[in-house]
Amino acid sequence: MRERQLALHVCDPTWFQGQKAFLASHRLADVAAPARPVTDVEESSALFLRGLGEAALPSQCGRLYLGNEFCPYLAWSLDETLSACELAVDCGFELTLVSGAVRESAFAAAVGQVRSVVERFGAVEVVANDWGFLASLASLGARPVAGRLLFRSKRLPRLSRTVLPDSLEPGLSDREVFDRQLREMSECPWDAPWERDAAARVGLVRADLEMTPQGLRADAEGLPLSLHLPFTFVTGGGACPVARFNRRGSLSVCSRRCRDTVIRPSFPVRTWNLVQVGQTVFMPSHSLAPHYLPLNRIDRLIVEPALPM
Amino acid sequence: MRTVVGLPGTSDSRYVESLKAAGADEFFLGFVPAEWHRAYGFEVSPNRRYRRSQQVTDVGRLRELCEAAAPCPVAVTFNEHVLSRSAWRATGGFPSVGGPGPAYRVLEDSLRSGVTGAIVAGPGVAALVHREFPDLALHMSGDGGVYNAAACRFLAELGVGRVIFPRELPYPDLAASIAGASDSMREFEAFVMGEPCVYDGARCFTEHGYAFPCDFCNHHSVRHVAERGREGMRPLPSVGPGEALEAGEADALRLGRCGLCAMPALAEAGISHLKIPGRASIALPALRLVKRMLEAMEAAASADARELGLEPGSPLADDPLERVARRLLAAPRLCSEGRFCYFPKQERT
Repeated sequence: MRERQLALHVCDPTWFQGQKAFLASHRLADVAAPARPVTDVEESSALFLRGLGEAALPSQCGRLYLGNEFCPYLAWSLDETLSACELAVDCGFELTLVSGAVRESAFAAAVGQVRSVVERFGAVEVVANDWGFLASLASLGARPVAGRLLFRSKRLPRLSRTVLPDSLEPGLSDREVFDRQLREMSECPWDAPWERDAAARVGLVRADLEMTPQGLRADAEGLPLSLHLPFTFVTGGGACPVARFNRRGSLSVCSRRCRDTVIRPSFPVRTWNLVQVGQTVFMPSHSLAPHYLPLNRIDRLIVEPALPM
Repeated sequence: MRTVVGLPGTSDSRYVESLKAAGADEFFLGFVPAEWHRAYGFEVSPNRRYRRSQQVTDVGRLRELCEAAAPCPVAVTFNEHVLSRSAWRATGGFPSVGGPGPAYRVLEDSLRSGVTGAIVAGPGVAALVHREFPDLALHMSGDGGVYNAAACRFLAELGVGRVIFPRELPYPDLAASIAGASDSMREFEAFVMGEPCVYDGARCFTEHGYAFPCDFCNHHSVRHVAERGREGMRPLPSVGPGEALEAGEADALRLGRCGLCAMPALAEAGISHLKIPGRASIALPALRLVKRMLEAMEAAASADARELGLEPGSPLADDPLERVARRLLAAPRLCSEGRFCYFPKQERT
């Protein structure tokens, strides 16, 4: 098995306060709990991670992912990014910057941020979550990584055996179709030749993945893969109920109350235990980890000790 | 601006004719032939819709619809986020090892039946389709997630001729993206009315229409409860059965999110096509409103206030076309709250 690196995703630039022990030891066990109330989903995920133990997880964290990919209002400023990079490098971590889907109005600033970081810290990895920004990174001297929002395998798939076999043609076995559905939906998207071509075109060095119930079938060789755990992005965008709650009708300001407010969406269809942060819906996916950890191609684990807020 | 209207699988030539008569300029549809659904069922889709009723399932019907639509272009939606190798090139003995797979056949049969374009959702598949089916006009789906001019330019290099912007992209970003990419691409499409997803298709990796009728994320049914430390649980505002609706609002909500009053701004930004989803609904009422708004815009260009339906002598507010749009939607409270706007006025000005 390749040597596997452990990375920690830091979504909030204020996270570093109170993390002295972790920054010194690089051990996950030393990460301080968030100041806000911890949800039951986070508690069970943390328990699971602890249970997984150091046999499955590398003992020390060697890299920090810095930035928030889910909401443009949570994107880090240049100052926040540079300070965090400085601190991370001083403490001996490798750097990966994280960007979201970069809208045109924020594009020049995002490019400027990458340029500044590359000037000061060299050819760092930059996670992009839209193809326009991804296609721009190599020319800035950064090492482009495809983010979790470009890993578009189906979340919460509805398969013929789990709902109704009403789509089946006479003479076809449900099991046969079900197996084909699973194979279809579990193929690693980055392994198809046309995706490899697109990846090569933008100079991709790695792709970040998430855990989904249908599992993952990945070729033995190909683009290096990282795996987010223990939360999987499900859906998002559109209106943000927390922002609406706080803005009192105004759309121009966001007070970032999602940093201390978790939403429980209730869907009319019974589904996975979902939790929403701002405009983003996650599923706790830690229970799927045993199916993913044996995959050699995954040479990096990106851990979020709490919900990405 | 031209109108692009979705067709459900239950469409027939009469429905297409009625849409043409109401002002539809182009159409799009989903095509799941027997070869596909025998392989994968309807739960795995080539186009992000998962019910039989939303798909044309027969080549004969597809040809009939294309003939009824002519000379209007018809695009086949081929925008599933992931295209597997076995779907494109058959493996594992189904239907025949090494031959064209069910996904390839979807495009091949579409082209033979009179379809003129394909809507895809990623650059890899765009390049593949452009190489294998150069006669199909290539559109990047709203689910493809184009948020900036750099993405438009990148996609244009791969043969994409039109970008459909995601539902969630604010107007200033849409306008600036067009301005920054108009040298490499000429066609830009925006949602203008229809099917109110709570989440955004470009960032939604679960099923579109999880169960009938879109129960996973139907805005009438989702309830949000905030959980915040000391303040405890608190329901967040939502529109639904618990909320009293004023006259006309139920009709407006059925139309989905609305961009009527933004249409003049969209035209100014360079939007060439207006998208009206209709694969899971009847698009005719929304199309009629959009068409009336387009007529009002033409009338405004000729500067005749009476053609806008404004009373002679009435003080023309700062934006008479916005007043026309509000009259057409006939749901003033929803308009003033902006909760169902594709492009809220505050973000346009």
